[in-house]
Amino acid sequence: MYAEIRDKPSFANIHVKLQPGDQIIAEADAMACMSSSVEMDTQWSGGVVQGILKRVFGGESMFVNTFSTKTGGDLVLTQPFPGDMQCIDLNGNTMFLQPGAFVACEPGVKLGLGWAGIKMFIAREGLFRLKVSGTGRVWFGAYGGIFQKEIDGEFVVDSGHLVAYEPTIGIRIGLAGGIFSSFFSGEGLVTRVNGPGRIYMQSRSFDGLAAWTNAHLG
Amino acid sequence: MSNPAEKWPIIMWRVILPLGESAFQGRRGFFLRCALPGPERPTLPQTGRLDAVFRPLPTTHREACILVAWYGTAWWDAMNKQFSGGVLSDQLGNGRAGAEIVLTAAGVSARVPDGRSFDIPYRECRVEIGGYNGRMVFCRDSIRTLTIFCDDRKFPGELATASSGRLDEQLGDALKRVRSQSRRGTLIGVVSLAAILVLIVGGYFGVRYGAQAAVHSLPISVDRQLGKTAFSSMDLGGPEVTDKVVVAAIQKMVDQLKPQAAIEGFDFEIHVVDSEELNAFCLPGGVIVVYTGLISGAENPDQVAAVIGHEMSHATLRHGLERTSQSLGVWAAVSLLIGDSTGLIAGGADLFQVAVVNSYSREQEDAADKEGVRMLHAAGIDPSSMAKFFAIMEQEHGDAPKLFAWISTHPQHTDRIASVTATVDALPDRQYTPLDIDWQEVQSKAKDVQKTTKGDR
Amino acid sequence: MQYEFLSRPAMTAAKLTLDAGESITCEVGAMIAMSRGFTVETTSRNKGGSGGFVKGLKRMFAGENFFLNHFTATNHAQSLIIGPAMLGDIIHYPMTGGTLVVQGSSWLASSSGVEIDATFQGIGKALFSGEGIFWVKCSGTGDLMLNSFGAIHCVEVNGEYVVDSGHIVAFEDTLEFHLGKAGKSLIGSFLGGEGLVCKFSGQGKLYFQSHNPPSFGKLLGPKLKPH
Repeated sequence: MYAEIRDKPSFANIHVKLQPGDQIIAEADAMACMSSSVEMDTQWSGGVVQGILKRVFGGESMFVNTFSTKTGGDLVLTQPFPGDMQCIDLNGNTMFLQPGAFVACEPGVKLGLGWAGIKMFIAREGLFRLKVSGTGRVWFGAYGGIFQKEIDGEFVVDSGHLVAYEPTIGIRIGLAGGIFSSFFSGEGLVTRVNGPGRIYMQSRSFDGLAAWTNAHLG
Repeated sequence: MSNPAEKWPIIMWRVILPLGESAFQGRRGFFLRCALPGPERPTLPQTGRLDAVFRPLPTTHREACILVAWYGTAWWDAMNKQFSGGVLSDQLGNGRAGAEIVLTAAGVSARVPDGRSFDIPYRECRVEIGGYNGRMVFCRDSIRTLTIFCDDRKFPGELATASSGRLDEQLGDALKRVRSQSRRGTLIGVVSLAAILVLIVGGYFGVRYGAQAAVHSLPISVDRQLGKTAFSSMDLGGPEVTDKVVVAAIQKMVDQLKPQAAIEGFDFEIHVVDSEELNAFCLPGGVIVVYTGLISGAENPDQVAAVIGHEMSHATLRHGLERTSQSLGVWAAVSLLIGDSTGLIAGGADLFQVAVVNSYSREQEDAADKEGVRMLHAAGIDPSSMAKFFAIMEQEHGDAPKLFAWISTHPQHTDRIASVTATVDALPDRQYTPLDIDWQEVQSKAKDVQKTTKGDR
Repeated sequence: MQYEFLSRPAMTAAKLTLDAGESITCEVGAMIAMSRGFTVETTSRNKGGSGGFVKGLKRMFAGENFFLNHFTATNHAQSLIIGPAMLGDIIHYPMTGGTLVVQGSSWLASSSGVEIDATFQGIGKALFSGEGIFWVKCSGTGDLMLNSFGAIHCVEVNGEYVVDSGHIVAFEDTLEFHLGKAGKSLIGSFLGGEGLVCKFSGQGKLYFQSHNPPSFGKLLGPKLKPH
C-alpha cells in the first residue's frame, strides 16, 4: 500500500493509493477526499467501551473508519489542525501517543487506551494515552512541526510539547528551575524524560495558540 | 531405609542445590504443587544462602526427592519462560523492535519478529530499572550498544532465578533505587495535597478573621473618607435643616456623648435632614444624619440621645468598615493585606448608598446597643430611654411601611428590648441628669421646618 | 497582469503587477500592500447560499453582503500584494471561457474579464453540515486567484470522486455533484465523522484543500474564552 505524507510541515496530509486487498484504518473525519471506488466502513474503536473511553479521556474519536477498495483508488487523509505528520513502522514494539495525535494505521497495528497517570495530566499531556503496538505503519500528527530525538539519559521537554514516546522512556514532572525562576521564566512545569528510547516533540502547542488568542480577545 | 543423604554426594546438598536457593525465596507455592500426600510433609526452609550450608540434610527418602524436585522444577521454570518485551539495537532496521525474551542458562535472549536473536550473557549484563511505569527492567551489554527490556511483573524475579544469583546485587540496588524514588514521589504527592488543603482551609479562615483584624488596624481616616464619599453621593431624602435650635440641640447631645466614645477624639459631623421619616444613621467616620421625623416622634431628648448613642457606637466600633469588607469579601481582604485601601473606599461608598447595607449584622447591632448604653450611662443620660424608645417605635410605628423607618432597618425583637433592659439593669447606679434641652421648642421648630418643606413641594 | 507567489506554501501572498488601465477585483480585506497608483472602489454583491453557523467559531452570516474591492491601476507597472486572512496557499486558475464554481471563502481575486455571481445556490443542501458556505460562480476569461486553508491539490476527475464538504476549493462546472453518505449507512457516515460528503461525477478539474476551517474551529473554539 503506497502512502506518502505530502505538504510537510505546515499542512501535512497522507496521500494513499489503495490496491484491492489493502486496508487503512483512520480516525473519524480524517478523510479529505477519495475516489468513489474506495469504501468506508465505520466501527467502534476497539469495542464500545474502549471507544467511549477513548473519546472521553483519550481525546480520540469513538469510531474509526476502515478504508478498503475492490478496484483500487486514491485517498487523502488529514488532521483537523495545521501541522506536521510522522510515520513510524512498528516491528512488534509499542509506542505511546498523546491524545489527538493519532491519524491512521495499517490493520496489523493494535490501538489500545492506557492510563497515563496524574503526572501526565499535570504535564498537560492528558489523563490517558493511546498505545499502539503490533506490526505495521502508524501515522500521527500534531499542531506544529514534529521532530524526534533519541534519548539516553535525562532530557527536558516543555509541558504540552510531547507528541509520542516509547514505553522505555521514564517521565517525571519537575519545575523548570528553582521555584522563582520557574515562575518568572514563564516555563513553570516541565517534563523530564529519561532514556533509553525515542521521543517525538512538536514545535508548537495547541494550548499555546489558545492562550495567545485568548490574550487578544476582548 | 538407608539415609539418602549418604547416597548422594555431599556436594549435591551443600553446593549445587544451595547455589540456586537464594533465588527461590518465595517459591513456597511450588512445594504445594509437588507435595506428596502423606502425614509427614517436610517443610522446606526459606533461608538465605549461608543458612543452607548449615541446614540439616534431608533425612528421609521422601524429603530428599521433594527437595530435588522442588529446586529442579523451579529452575526449569525460570529457564524456559517467555516474556514479551523489546530490543534496542543499532542492528535493527528502526533501531528497535518488539521481542520475545527467553531466559537461558547463559544469559538473556531476545528474538525479534524477523527471526534474529540478540543475547546478553549474565556475566556481562548491566541491569537498570525504569521506563514509563518505573518497573521496566533493562538489560544492557557492557558496551551499551544492545538493550533488552521487559516490563512484565514477574521478570525481575525470574531473572534473579535464572541468573543463579549473579544479578542479585544489581537487581537489588536498582529495585531499592526505584522504590525510594517512588516513595519520594508518593511523599511529595501527599505533602503537596496536604499543603493545598491547609492553604485552602487556612486561607478561608485566615481571610475571614484576618479581614476583621486588618479592618481595625486601618486608620480612622479611611472610615472618614468612606463616610464622606458615601454622604456626598447619597440621596438624603430631604433638604438639610439649618435651623439653629434644632441643630444646636442635636449637637449638644453629641457633645455630651462624644467624650464617652470608644475612640478618643473621634470627630462627629452632624446633619439634620428634614423628612417625615423616623430615622437616623451614622456613616463610617462619624457622619451623623438625623431626620426631623425622629425628632417629632421621640417623647424626650433622652430617647433621641439614645438613638444617636447607638449610631455613634456603630461608627466608633467601625462596623461600617467591617460590613464593607465582608460584603466585598476576599477582594477586600487582599487589598487590606496589601495595604491599598482606595479600592475599598470606592466600593464601600457604593454599598453605603443602598439602604440595604445600612443594616448591620445581628452581632453588630447587639454590640452597638451595649456600647450605646455604656456611653449614655457614662455621659449621665438615662440609658433606659433606649429600651423605652424601642418599645414606643414598635408599638406605634411597628407597621411602618416606609423604607427608611428606623424600625425597619433596626428590626426589633422582644429579646432585644429585654437584653438592653438587662444591660441597663446590670449597670452600677448613678445619678442621671435629663438633657438640658427645651424639647418642646425643638419639636415645634422641627415641625415648622417640615411644614415649610411641605409647602415648598 | 503578472503574478508571483511569495512565501509558499503556508503563508502565501500573491504579488500582482498591473499596467495602466488594468483592474482586478479582490475580496475586501485581502489587500496587504499596494503602490500609490491605484484607484479603489468598493461594491457589494448579494450572497446566496445557506446561512448558518460556522461551527466552532460561532459566527453567523446569513444573507450578508459580499463586498468587493476593485483596484484599477492608473500608472505603469503598479504592484499590489494580496493575501487571505488565514494561513494557507494561493493558486492561479486561468479562466478561458469555461465556468468555475468556487467556495466562497476560497475566492480571493479575479481580473476584470471574469464575471462573479455570488448568488449561486450550488449545494444549498450544505445546510446539513451547517457550515454556512456560499458559492461564487466565475465565468469569462481572465485570471482567477483562489486561496485555501491548507495545501491545494488538483484532481482530474474522470468518473466519480468523493470530497468531504469542507475541503472543496473549486470545481469546473462540467462536473455534476450531489450530496451523499460517506459510508455504507447513514448512521455510520455521521458517526464516522464525515457526515454527508460531496460526490462529483463527470469530467473536469477539482481543487481541494488539505485542511478545513470548521474542524480547526471546533478544536480551538472551546478553548477560547467567551467574548
